[in-house]
Amino acid sequence: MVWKIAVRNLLQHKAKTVIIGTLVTIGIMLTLVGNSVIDSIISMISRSFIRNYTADILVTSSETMGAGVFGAQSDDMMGPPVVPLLKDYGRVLPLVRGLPGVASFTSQLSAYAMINLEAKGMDYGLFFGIDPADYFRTMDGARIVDGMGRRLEPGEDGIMLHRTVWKRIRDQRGVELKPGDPVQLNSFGNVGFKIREVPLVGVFEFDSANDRMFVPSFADVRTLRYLGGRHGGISEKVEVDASATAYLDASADAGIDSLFGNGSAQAAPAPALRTAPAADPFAILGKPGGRTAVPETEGSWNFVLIRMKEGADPGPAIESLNAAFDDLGLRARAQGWQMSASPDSFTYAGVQLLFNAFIVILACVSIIIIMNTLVASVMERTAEIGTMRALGAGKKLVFGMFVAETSVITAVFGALGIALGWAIVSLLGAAGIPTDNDALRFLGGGGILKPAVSTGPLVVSFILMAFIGLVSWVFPVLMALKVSPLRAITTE
Amino acid sequence: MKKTIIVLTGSFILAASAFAQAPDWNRTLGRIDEMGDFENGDFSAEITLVSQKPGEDDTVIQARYFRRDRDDKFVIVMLKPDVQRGQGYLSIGDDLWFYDPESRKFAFSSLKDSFQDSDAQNSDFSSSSLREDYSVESYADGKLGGADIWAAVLVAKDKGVAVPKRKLWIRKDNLLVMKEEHYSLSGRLMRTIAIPKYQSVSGKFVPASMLIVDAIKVGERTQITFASPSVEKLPDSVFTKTYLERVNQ
Repeated sequence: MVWKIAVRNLLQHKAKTVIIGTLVTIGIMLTLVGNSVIDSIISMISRSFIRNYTADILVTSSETMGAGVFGAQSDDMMGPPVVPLLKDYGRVLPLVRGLPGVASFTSQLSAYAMINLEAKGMDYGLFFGIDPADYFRTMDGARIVDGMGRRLEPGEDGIMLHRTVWKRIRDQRGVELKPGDPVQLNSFGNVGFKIREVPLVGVFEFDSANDRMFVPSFADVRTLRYLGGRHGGISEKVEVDASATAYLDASADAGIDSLFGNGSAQAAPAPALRTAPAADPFAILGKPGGRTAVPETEGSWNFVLIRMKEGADPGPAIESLNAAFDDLGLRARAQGWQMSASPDSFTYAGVQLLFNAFIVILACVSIIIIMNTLVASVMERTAEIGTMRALGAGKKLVFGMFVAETSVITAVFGALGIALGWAIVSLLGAAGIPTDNDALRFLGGGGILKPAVSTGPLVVSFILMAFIGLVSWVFPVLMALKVSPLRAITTE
Repeated sequence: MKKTIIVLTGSFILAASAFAQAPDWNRTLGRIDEMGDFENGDFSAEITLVSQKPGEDDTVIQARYFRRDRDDKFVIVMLKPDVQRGQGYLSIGDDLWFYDPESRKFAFSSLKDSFQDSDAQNSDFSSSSLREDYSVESYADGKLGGADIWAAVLVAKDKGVAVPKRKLWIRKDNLLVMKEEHYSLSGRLMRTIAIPKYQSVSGKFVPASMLIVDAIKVGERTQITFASPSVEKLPDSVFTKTYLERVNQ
């Protein structure tokens, strides 16, 4: 009975029904299309991060918070990111080998180094130190630019430059590096300044990847270990007498001017020194071989990267690894791509949050407009409601009638919105959205975005539809229930 | 010894009377350069550099420093810590190379770069060339630690100079530079350097110790101490790449 009256009312007030319905349709359609596009972008980003940088699971050191493949923020805001060594690498590896659902895994070092172009200057970049034997089997996103060399071979010393780095060196430094050219890498680590010269083996690019500030290039792991000064924890404290730190101590709290005191004797020259005989410049280092050799720690790595078999959920594997690390007291942590791709991934999460906020605002605006239209409709139907009440219709019937009207509108036009949204997403998916403009490239571009309707956006659309249906009738119905039969009779 | 003191005192009195009035800055900068320039000989010393960074242990480096001002050259060879032993710098004019004995490779570097990740710059080890590189933009009279000084702002004549703009606190009575502030091209304060004490070596003046405070990285400071100074002539071969290779053999 109520539904019948509701449908009849809706058909009687066609204009209002169409206005409210159109708003519902547009709202639901926009939600579905927007969420589907964002969902597809996130999915594309996750694919490119997993294939290029992080794999499905990254095992890193638990000693530094937030250490992903690009390193954790250094305490020194201007310093390069910190990339902690995975000290329990040897004990982590058997656990990874025994993990069910693993397709392949590899190990990696990350380090920042300078490419020294002599008089042409320097370029600063991020390098992934790899063992090509298993790295490219696990991480399959890199492809060699046509005519620009080849991949690193197992056991070979050399680097593969990312096309962006190669192009930057060409455009900004005027040096066009070719495969086979020697490239000098410099690094300042905990064993001082290090130099290593290796050939450029190839220039590569990722099939699809975001344009981050430091795109990684590849180097053989020995080169990166050498540059990073992975010296197995040798730490030598050089003792000096108090005079060597006197100014540091004296000015620590009082400031630099305190070193001059009040007397004019300060900054005066000390009496002329009897100069010491010059040390023999050729004997200052003592006996040959006096320098401590810096042993390379063959097993030093920053990360273990794990790819899961197609369709395998990395979540349980991460949980199982972390439980094992905790049980064994290992200084290691397994994490998914989003944690491992920080801080980049936070940007994407931010974009998604922004879009979701936009959807919520859109839903609120839709509800307010629908409510206003319904309120106006109630005002116009005062006489009708009053008459119904005078003829014995109870509040329950009036309540039910309005709820039914809103439900019908939401269901019919919401379904229309979903259908239209689905059609638009399918059309976009068929046509493909090029992501070569700056904003989209930053997000994960380089390829063609093919949006598709997935469960998530569909669920969000249904939730929004239900929310509009449930909330938008409240105020109008309360108004309708306040209409008294007397007022209805006296209203023209 | 007595003779040296008399000569020094005489030169201070001369300098003081000459510069008591408004200074002729071209002459003054030239005189400051001369006071630290071993133009007729070589200079060598042992350097101790202690760097402090917030939250980190002090970094200590000891090195041997050789300088030949007439050819605008210097060489620095690391002595300690052991893992850096034998690493070295060779500077000739505006060019600078770093040597890594482990890889036996040289890397071309710049005088503008920081020295061993400290607050010192490679250019801090070059001889002074204020008259050639700078002109005085402005100056004011003042006092620092009880001494009468000129605070002079110097701007580089050429963009290639390691420090584009610097402010010097110069003692009026002996023309020793007590303090410096180094600015970037945009006018941002980069470092402050204090040289509370000089040592006289064969009539020339070199800092006994200096403190460098980084104005950008708050809390980072470096003290450099010059010990065992010598003006004995050094073999020409010291100021070559071959020397850095040979000393490591």
